Amino acid sequence: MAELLKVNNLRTYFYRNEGVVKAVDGISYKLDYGETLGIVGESGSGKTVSVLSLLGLIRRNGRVEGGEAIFDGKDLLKLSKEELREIRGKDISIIFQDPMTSLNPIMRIGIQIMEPLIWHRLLSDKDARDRAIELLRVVGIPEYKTRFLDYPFQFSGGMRQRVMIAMALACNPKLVIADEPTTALDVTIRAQILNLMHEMKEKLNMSIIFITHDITLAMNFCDTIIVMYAGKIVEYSSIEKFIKNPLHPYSQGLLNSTLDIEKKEGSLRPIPGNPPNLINPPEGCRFHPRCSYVQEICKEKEPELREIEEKHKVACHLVKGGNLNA
Amino acid sequence: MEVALKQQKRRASYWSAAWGRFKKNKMAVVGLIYIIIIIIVSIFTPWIAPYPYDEPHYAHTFEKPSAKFWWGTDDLGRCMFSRNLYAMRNALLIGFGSQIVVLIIGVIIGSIAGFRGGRVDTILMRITDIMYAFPTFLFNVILVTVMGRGLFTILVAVGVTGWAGMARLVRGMVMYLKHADFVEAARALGSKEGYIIRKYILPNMLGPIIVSLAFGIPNGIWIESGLALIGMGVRPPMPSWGNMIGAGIGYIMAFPHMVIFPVLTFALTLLAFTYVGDGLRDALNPRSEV
Repeated sequence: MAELLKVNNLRTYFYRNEGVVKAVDGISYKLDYGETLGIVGESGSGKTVSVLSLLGLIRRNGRVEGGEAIFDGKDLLKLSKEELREIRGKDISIIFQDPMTSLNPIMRIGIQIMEPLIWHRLLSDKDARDRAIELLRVVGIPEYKTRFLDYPFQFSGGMRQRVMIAMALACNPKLVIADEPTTALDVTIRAQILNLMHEMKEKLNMSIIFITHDITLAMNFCDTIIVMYAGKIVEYSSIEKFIKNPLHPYSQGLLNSTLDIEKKEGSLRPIPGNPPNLINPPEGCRFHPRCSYVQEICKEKEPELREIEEKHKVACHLVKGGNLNA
Repeated sequence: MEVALKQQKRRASYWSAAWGRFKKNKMAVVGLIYIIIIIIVSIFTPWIAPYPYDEPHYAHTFEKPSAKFWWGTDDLGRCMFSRNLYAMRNALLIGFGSQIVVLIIGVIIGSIAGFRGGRVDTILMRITDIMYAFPTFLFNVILVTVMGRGLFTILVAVGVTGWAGMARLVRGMVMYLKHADFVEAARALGSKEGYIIRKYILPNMLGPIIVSLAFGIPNGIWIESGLALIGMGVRPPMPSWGNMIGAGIGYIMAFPHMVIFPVLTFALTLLAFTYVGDGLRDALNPRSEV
C-alpha cells in the first residue's frame, strides 16, 4: 500500500507562564492509503495535539517546534496558512468529539454541510445542495430531504454526529481525523456511528486517524494502534500483534482498566497515580512512577522505541525478545 | 447557498421560531403593538398634533380636557396633547439614538478586546470598568453642560455613558465564540476567518445584543426625562416628559391633568419597552426550545 502521511519526530510545545508544556515530544508514525490508525492514551497524553499540529489548528500559545509531516508529497508543517486552509476540509477533515456543540446553532444543517464544498470552490451552490442532500442520505438521516433545512437543536446527539460526519466527508477527503467521535454518545449510538464510519471508509477508500481513550474500541476498529503516554509513543503496533501480545506495561494497564464481561469480579485493575506534569516530566521512562515493574534503569535512561518484531515497536527497557521480562 | 434558502416553506426559520416564542408572551405582544403605534405617531407628529407645541393660548390657560384641547392646557395655555406628542417623539429619538451610539461604541470596544485579548483586552476592560463604576447620571449632567442642551447632544451623552454593559457583553461573547467548538470545527474544515466572523460569530451574538438594546431604550428615555426634570434636558419650549411633569407637579391639586397625562404616557412607554425586552430575551435564545 502506498503511503499517505508520514510524520517524523513531531514536537509541539505550549508556552505557559509556569513553563514549557511538551505536549507532543518527538513522535513519528506513518499512515497508508485506506489504513485506520488508532491513537490511544489518557487525557492530556497529546493525542489530539499531535494531529491538530499537522493542520495548524493549535491555539496561539502552542507552537510546532520541529519535525516534518509529509502528506501526499507536501510537508504540512512548512505550508503557509492559506495553503493549509486549502487542505483542511478538502484533503484532510476532522470529526470532533462533541456533536452537541460542534455545529453552528443558528445555521441550517444542510447549509453547514454545503459549506466545505463552497469554501473550497468544488461545486456550484446548486450542485453543492444536491451533494449535501445525498450526503445526508448516505449517513442515514431519515427524511433527509426535509431535515436538510432543520437546525441543529432539532437533532439528537447521534444524528448530529452523523451530520458532522457528512460535513467531514463532503469533499471526499483522503484522510479523516476522528477526534473521539463517539465519546459524547451513548453506547448504542456509538456502535452505529462506528459502523457508519467503517462503511464510509470502505466505500470512499479514505484513511482514518481515530483518536480515542477507549483502547478496546480502537482494537476493534483500527488496523494499527499507537499508544501514547505523556507526549510520547510507548507502543506502536499492527492490531493483530497488539491483541495477541500487548507489551508495554502502560498498554497492559490500559487493558486491565477496561471491563471484560468474561472475566471475574476483581479483574478491573486501574493504573495507580495520574499522568505526569508535562512541564517537568519524570526522568528516564516517563511512565516509571506509575509502573508496577519499575527497575533502576527505568529511572535513569529514557527507553527508545525499538522494533520487537515486524510491525511492532515498544519503548520499554524491560521488553526483551518479544516478552515483558519483569 | 441562496438556492437552499428559497426552499424554506415547511421548515421554521430561526426568526420565525423566535416570533412563535415571542407571541406566547401576551404582555410583550401588547407592548410591541403599543410601541409600534407610538413610533408611527412620533414619525407623523407634526401632522397629527392639533397645535404647535410652543403656541400659547392665553385665553385658555389651565383648561381641563375639552373638545378643543383634548388633554387640556398648561399654565401658558399650550395644548397638552400636542406637547405630549412632541415629548414622546423626543424621548423615542433619544431612546433609540442613544442605543445606536451604545451599539457602535460597545461593539467596537467589546470585539477588539475579545478578539485581541492580552494587554489590549486588559486596558480596554479597565476603561470599561471605570465607565461602569462612574455615576452615569452625574456624567450625563457634565456632558450636557459641556456640549449644550440640544436633542443630539443629549442623545450622544446618554450613549457615551451607557456603553460599558454592551462592551462587556460583546467581549464575553466574542471570547466564548472565537474558540467555540463549532467555530473551531468550521476552521478545521477550511473556512476563511472573514466567513467565520460574518456567518458564525456575528449572527450568534445578535440575540443577546438585541435584548440588551431593548432594555437600553427605556433606560435612555428615563435618563432623558430625568435630565429634563432637573432642568438639564432639551431647551424649553421644546417639551420633554421630564419638564412637563416637573411643571405640572406644582399644580397637581388644582389641575391634575397637567401631571396625569405625561406621567401616564411616560410610564406606559417604559413598561411597554420593558415587556418587549422580556419577550425578546425569552424568544431569542435558540436553546430555549427543544
